[in-house]
Amino acid sequence: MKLPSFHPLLEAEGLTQKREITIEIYSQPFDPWIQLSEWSSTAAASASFCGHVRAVDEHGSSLEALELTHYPGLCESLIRENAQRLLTVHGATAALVIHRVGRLSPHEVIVLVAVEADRRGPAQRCCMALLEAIKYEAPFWKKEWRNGQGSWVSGNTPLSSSS
Amino acid sequence: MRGPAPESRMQDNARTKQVLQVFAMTKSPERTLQVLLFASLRDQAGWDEQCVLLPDQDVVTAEDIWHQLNLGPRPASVQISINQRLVNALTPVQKGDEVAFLPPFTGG
Repeated sequence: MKLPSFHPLLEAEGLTQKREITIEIYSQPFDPWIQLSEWSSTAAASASFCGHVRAVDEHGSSLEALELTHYPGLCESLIRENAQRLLTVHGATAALVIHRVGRLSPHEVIVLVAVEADRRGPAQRCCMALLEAIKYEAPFWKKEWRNGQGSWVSGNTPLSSSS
Repeated sequence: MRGPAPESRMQDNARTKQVLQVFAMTKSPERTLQVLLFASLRDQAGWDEQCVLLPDQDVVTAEDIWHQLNLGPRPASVQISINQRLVNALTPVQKGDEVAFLPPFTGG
């Protein structure tokens, strides 16, 4: 019996396609559309998410800047482990993660996540799962600045939050 | 319960930092490890990286190292890594290790 190319067994054994994972941590602003254009292949399906700095902090006050720090080395390795696992679980073929660190102004791009697959379902599901893994399992920390005072963000908003 | 005044806390942090530095300078470097703090823990401690003396006992865990830092009880949400691998608090540490204490992640 011929198995479909996205069969979980084949994917788990890595027998179908090589999975490409690109992870970049930038300390300077980047253009997500240029990055996507340079990364994209001829895959039949792709999904992407681009996150920007809000103009207000977690309490609704006007935000001056957002400062992002990370733990170099562990951060990249945890993103890679999660990307490898999720590409396998969802039967997707490639992932791109670009994350900013440093001081960001409102509306600047914080994160770009993109996933390629042979079908829209695997691409979209894997992209969402990878973003959640980055938010909760990669050592990044946000500090919000307003009126010259900084405070660490206490936690991420849940995926189901509408606010 | 109110904590100590900010000035008093800063003095305590400075004293802890001084003690850790003196330990590191007076003891053989083979008996030390590197401790990293991030985000809110850095602000609380007043430092981000220290060379810390391994206590003189057969097995020293990551939790033992935390207690040596005098930062109070470790919040359950603070994760630990040893040599860039996430571990549980009871994982033994060795001389020369890099031990990091990590507040809840807020990236993405």
